[in-house]
Amino acid sequence: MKGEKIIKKEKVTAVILTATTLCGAFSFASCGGEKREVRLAGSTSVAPLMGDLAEAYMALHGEVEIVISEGGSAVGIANAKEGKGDFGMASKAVSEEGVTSVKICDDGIVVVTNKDNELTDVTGVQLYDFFAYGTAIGNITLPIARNESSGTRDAFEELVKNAAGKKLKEETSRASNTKVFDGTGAVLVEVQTNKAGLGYISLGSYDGSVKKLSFNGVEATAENIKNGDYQLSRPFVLLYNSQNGLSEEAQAFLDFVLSDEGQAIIEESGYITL
Amino acid sequence: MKEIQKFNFSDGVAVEAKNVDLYYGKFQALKKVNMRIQEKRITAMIGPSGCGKSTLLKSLNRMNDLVEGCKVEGEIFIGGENVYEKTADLSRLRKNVGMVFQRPNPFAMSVYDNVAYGPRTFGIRKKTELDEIVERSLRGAAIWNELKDRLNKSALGLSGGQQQRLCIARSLAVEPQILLMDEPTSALDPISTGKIEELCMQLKKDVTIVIVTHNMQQALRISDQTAFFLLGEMVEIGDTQTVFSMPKEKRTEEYITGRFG
Amino acid sequence: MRGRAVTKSESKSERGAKTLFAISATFSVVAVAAIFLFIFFSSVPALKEVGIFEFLFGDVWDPNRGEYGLLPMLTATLLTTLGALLIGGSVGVFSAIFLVYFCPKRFKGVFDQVIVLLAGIPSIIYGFFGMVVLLPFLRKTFGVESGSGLLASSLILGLMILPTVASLSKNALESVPASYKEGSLALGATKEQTVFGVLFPAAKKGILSALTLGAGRAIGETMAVQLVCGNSPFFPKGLFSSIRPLTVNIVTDMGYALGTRRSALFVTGLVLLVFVLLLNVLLAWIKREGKPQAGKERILTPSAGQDGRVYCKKGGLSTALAVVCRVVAGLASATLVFLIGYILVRGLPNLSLEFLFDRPTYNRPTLRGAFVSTFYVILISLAVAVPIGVATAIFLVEYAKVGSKFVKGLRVFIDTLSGIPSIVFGLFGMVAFCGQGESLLAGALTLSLMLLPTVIRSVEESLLAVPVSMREGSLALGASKVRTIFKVVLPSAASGIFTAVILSIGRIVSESAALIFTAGSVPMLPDSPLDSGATFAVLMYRFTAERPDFAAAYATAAVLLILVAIVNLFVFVTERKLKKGKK
Repeated sequence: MKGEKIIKKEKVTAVILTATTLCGAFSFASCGGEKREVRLAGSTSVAPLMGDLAEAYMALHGEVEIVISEGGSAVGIANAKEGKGDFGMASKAVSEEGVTSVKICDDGIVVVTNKDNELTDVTGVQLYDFFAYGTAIGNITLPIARNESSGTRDAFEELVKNAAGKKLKEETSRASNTKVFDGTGAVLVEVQTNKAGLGYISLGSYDGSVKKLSFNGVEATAENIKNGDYQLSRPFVLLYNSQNGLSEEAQAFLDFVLSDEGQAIIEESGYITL
Repeated sequence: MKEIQKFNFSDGVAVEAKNVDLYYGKFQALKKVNMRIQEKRITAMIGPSGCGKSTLLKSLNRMNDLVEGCKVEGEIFIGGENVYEKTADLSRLRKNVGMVFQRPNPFAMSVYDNVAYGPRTFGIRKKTELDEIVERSLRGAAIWNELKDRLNKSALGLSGGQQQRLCIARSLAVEPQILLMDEPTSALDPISTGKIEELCMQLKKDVTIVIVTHNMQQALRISDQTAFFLLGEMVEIGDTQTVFSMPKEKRTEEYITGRFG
Repeated sequence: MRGRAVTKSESKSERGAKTLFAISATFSVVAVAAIFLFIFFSSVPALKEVGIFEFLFGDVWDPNRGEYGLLPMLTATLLTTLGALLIGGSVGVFSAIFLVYFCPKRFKGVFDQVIVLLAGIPSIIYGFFGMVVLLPFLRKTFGVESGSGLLASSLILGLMILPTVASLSKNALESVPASYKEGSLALGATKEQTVFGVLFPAAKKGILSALTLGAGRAIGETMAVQLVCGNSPFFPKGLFSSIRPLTVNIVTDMGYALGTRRSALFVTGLVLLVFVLLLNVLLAWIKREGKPQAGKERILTPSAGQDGRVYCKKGGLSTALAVVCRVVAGLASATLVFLIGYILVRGLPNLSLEFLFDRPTYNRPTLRGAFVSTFYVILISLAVAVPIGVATAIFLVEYAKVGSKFVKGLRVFIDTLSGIPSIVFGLFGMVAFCGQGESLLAGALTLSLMLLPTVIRSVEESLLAVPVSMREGSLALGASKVRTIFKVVLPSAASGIFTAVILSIGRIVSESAALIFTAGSVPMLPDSPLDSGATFAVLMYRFTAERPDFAAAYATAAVLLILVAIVNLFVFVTERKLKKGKK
């Protein structure tokens, strides 16, 4: 027994050593010297877009690393206010004291349902009743919502309320059969697989796997959003602490985002350029 | 590092117990025990189960300390030093007063490491020195020839008799002056028992041996002195031949002739 | 026997070591206290603003309108737990009976492994399985718009608590004295009658504890339920109405919430903690309630025959129950095989070298980041949990007085620690360790607290298995207690410690709820443990919930399952060697 144990110890050591070496090798490639970081935190809707932008930017500027973490628009705003990180990301217009907001593009919120459904258009009142009271729209019965602190949900409820002519404090998203997801992607998947479902996502996340509905008869297209015909839209903004200003790297990244190059990437990703 | 002193047996007396009372909680296991154990002799302690002989043995190197609620009154001298003195060095005591247990208890290590464990405990690190001690101890325990080719094998793979002799070798490795043996052959077959008895006879040239045994024949075969215990009392101690042929006490006689126990 | 030495002449180093062990032992106490305090203090702002009454009895949760009623979610937690107990509890108990009494000998090892594997599968995989297999199945079978809700949650939770209930019930049944069985058989009772009439009642207490622990697991489970519960914070209105248990409430919104909302989620955690405490009290009560003597009278008082009485062959019910056992055990095994097969068949084809080893980018995560992140988390959390756990075990076994108040108290804390849901650990880690933002280090520290009870328990067991005579042998040579412990006792317990390490690795690999808000879910390649990073299970969560990519999810699940299988294999081999060594 003891003999085996001695061998075992060696084996364990060997395994640990191998694992260390392997992981060392994995991470080594990434270590090439100290990188300067630009940190972004906030809206999950904005994050994928920033991911695309960051990738392009890092390909051009190997010395900079852009770190993105997600936590909803509220986190983006709070971070900027407290001066944490370089940028906050938010998927709605922000006017906070001490926070500078830079609009980088617009995004439509598009109402989606399963491809097999015949429905092509919804009205504000229909949507309001659907999410507030579970009133079916044709054979569509299952409201699919985002979690309570989601910027997209916040914006959607606000816009729908306005469109339906309801007051601010009135109920939305209270239908008792509502399914709630904490990510745009999860909503997409549910709509893909469930004929009874209807939900809302960011236009930039629209991937053709579900059916896009027009709102009050207006198609959700870049043009209609730009000219204001499509009502369900909100801006994407980057935020930073006004007092702290921006570091050199952060400023350079922001410049890139607003440049023609950056805006081209934004357009490619399905968002509406400035 | 401070060198560990041996005990000084200048007057030929290795152990002396004076008025020893021992309690396990409220139970009194030893009652006013007085006895002397001569140097370089084999002293056997006999008596029925629960008579206190193992208890006395274990209090000689203070292994009783491990038992919760154990309390010792009176004095036990080894080489004239009271081992229950507050300032007594437990480590020194146990190095010099070794112990072999009823069931062989080799450590889960190689044969070599088992024997080297004691010397290493006391700061011997040199390989050559350890090699020499291991060989000498295993030879001393008459098991060198059997084990010299498997020094690096686990000790747990040995037979019971081999394990017990290994444990004796392990004790010998720290050069004890006294070796306490607590029924060392009770778990062994007759052949292994014979080997151990033979070993004891050889060892007494250098080491004082105190052995607890249930086997009266064994006591008669190997011991020079025999002490008989009954119900926590030491009834009688004397030359083995005398104790077995002409015991002073009736209780001793009854036990030896098998009338009780 | 293993009691504290009454030596008067302990040297300084001896006393130093003892103090060190004792301090490590109090670590669990500190951890539990810290968790309660941190969660409580983080709850205070919301409690002040909203009030405890509104939290507990308010029936609307809508933070956007300042409504923070937890009652719907409390109800959901209770109902899903009840459902899980009905499904998983009964299946678990029947499986245990099957394993102990009716399983053919050569399948015993296999079925044992079935239960072990079921226990090892990460909750996120259960959730994913529920999402892609169970929900569509329920939707079709019952013709409902969405299969999610109470039934789906209970089914998945039931599957998850099955192994807990089964393995603990098995222990309880195995510890029923053999004489009970003989006594009943000798009266002419059939095996089935003996099992259900005598042996099962005799193990009642252990089985109740098993069910209580199962309930604890069901209450605390987060990730698996989140994917199948529907997630809207309303009172359950039927088997398929969308619900949100307490744990899910935390995980759904924590990444977004700020201010009072965030604090309100901590209140949710606090409520969970109270639940866990109540369960612990219940468990203690069950354990104290009479010694395992129930059922004894049954053997001793057979209706001894009066003249002229007619004896009939009875036992139809027992026979039927025995059949149920077999069916249920077969079902459990089939489910496991199906789950593993399904994930592997769907996952392996999606595994490409690129997906495994390419450098991850934000929008195209690969598993390379997960390899590194998981490795860091394993390394750090073991480096913290193993020394503290081993030291605590040493203190409990080698130094502490058996049955002293201190030890009893310590055990209460260790048990409490092991019962705290991982999402609550996550909350704690978030406030305690994430001052500088999410990092692998913070995640690992959080996990190390979670691992502690497991490490302590398995090391303790292996220390107890080392014979007292070995300690005596060393002490009798003059070796100090500390030397004895480190050179003789610990090496003999090495395989136990090894098992503890492997079990911990399994737990770390499977964990997601405690890591999402501490280590983060950013799927990038971490440069150091101070970066945030996603382990396999967390990445899997991202692929299922945050940003679904089912191909990637299947592939990650397959890798996770393979890792879990390797871990289980290691444990199996070690335990086997251990058994052989003992013979």
